[in-house]
Amino acid sequence: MAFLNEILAELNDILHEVISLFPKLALVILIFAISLILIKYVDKLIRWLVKISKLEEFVKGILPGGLRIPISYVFSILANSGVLITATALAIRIFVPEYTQLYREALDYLARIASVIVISLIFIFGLDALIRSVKLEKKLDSFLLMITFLLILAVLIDLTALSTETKSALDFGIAIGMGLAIGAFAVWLFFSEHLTMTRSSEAINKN
Amino acid sequence: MKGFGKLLMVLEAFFGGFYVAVTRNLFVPMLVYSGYSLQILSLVTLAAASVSILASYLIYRKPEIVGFKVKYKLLFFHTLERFFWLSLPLMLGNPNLMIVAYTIAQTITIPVGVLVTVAIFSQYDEADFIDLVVKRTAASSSASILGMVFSTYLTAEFLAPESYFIAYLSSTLIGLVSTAVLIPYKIPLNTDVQTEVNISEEVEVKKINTFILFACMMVGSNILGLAWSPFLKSLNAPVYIAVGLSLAGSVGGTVGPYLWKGYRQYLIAIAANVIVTSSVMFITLPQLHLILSFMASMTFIGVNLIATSIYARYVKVLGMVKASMFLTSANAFGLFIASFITSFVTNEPTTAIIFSTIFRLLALSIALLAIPETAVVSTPTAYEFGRVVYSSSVLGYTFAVETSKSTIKFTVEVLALTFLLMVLYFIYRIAGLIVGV
Repeated sequence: MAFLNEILAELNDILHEVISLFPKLALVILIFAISLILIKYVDKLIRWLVKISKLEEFVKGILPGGLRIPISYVFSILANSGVLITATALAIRIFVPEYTQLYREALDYLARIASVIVISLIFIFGLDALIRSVKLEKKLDSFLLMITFLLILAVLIDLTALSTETKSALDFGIAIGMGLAIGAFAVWLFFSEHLTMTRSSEAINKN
Repeated sequence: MKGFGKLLMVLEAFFGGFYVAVTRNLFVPMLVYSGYSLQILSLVTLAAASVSILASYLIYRKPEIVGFKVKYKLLFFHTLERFFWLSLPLMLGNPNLMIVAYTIAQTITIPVGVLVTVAIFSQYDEADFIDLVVKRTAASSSASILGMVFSTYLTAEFLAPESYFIAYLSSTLIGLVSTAVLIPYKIPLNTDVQTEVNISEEVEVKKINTFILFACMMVGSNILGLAWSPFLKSLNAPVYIAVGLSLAGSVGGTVGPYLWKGYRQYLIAIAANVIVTSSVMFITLPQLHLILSFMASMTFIGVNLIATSIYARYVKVLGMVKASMFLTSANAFGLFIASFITSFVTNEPTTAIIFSTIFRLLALSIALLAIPETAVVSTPTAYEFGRVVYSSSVLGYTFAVETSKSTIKFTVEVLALTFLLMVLYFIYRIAGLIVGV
């Protein structure tokens, strides 16, 4: 019987805990509901502002064909992320205020990931725009893709849990590799015709 | 019945003239003595003139705004104007609110002016219309003499700001009497707002050239109005001379309408006005300026009557609203250019008076050469000159409109982009605050 009483008491405690949590839960649900409504309207506002400011046309004027993704979409993502971060921070403050510091650190790490994503996107879209506007030949296209990949790799290393020495060694290696690749590419670009001509004249002399 | 209508319109001008004289003439001294700088004064008038021009343009483009239910609209705007002018002394403590309130008050005078003219056009033909304009001008000028005496007495007897409140409140009440006078006046429910579909080139040229002539005279008049008092101050004239200028002007305005009859005499009036304006800067005896002010107002009516006669003649072709619009908006246009010149080009009184003379000379040249009714050259030559003035002004207008359009478009785009970035900043600022970063 004592065991049953103990279980009942435990159940009672859990129920009390759940009931005491209920107002907090309701508040958090309310916060997220408001955030979602807010996101909907902020989204509309941003689309309208981008349309009025004619930002898409401006970008299309600079980069032929414009960006691969609409600018209103980029601004919407930024704004929505801001609203969601705020809502989550509020929820954590209400539910588990002791984890606020942890959330702050997590956000810090998330910000680093976001910045790597943004930088990578800039590299990719920049390369894409360059290829479309200059109409580069296939070899050059592949070369730029490789450089972009190396650049993304360099910033990705920053996110890893490797030691600082290893990170800097890897970055150093990538930097030297990129430098050599660009050097070799420049030699090929400027002197390839001359080298081909020299080789063909040597071949003619041998014959 | 027509006689009764005329009587009502003259009474409206009389009571309205009193209200206008008190509210408008007291406005600048009220701001100056409340510590407003010349720059804020210019800003106040420039903002009001710009919005008035926009309102005029809007009514010109969409005459149907004032074309239907004219009587209700007239009574509504007539009353609203009086209440907005009444609110001005209450805004003295806040210059920004003052700019907004004055701009609204000044802008409302545009539909009021148009609607009053439409009301007259709808009842009277050309000859009656001119007769009524003459009588209304005389009534308004004589009431403005009373208004000026009244406001001078109040400002001398009571301390500021009580004197402003009493003056504005009492003149508003008298202004509302002028609104009440309009209630029995008969106006058709809808007026002819036809757009000029089959307008002949001759009328088109005359319409624009008359407006330019009227607007040039208004620019000259507004510049002179702004520069005359500072000029007298530079002559060390006693204050009563500066105050007496308006009074002498009102007396001239009462006499003037009965002096000039027919286009030839109107032209003589304009020429005399140019001579009076140019002589202002050469006469150093302050007392003589009272006579100059009297003569300037007495002769200024000439241009008013030219414009009124021409628009009254073509009212059937232009449509009542557009014809009224040209007569009403010339002052807003004149005030805008005058404020612009005195704010940004020169604030030296003598130079400003030179500008005023140049504008009036320009108006006289147009009257002498480009308007067949008043021209001293043969009618075909006057048409040719008219076409030259018309085409240059239309070219200038098109350029100005296109430039303003693209400037406004660009400003809106930049504002939208700024607002977009502000929204993002605001969201992340709040996020940072809550996260504690």
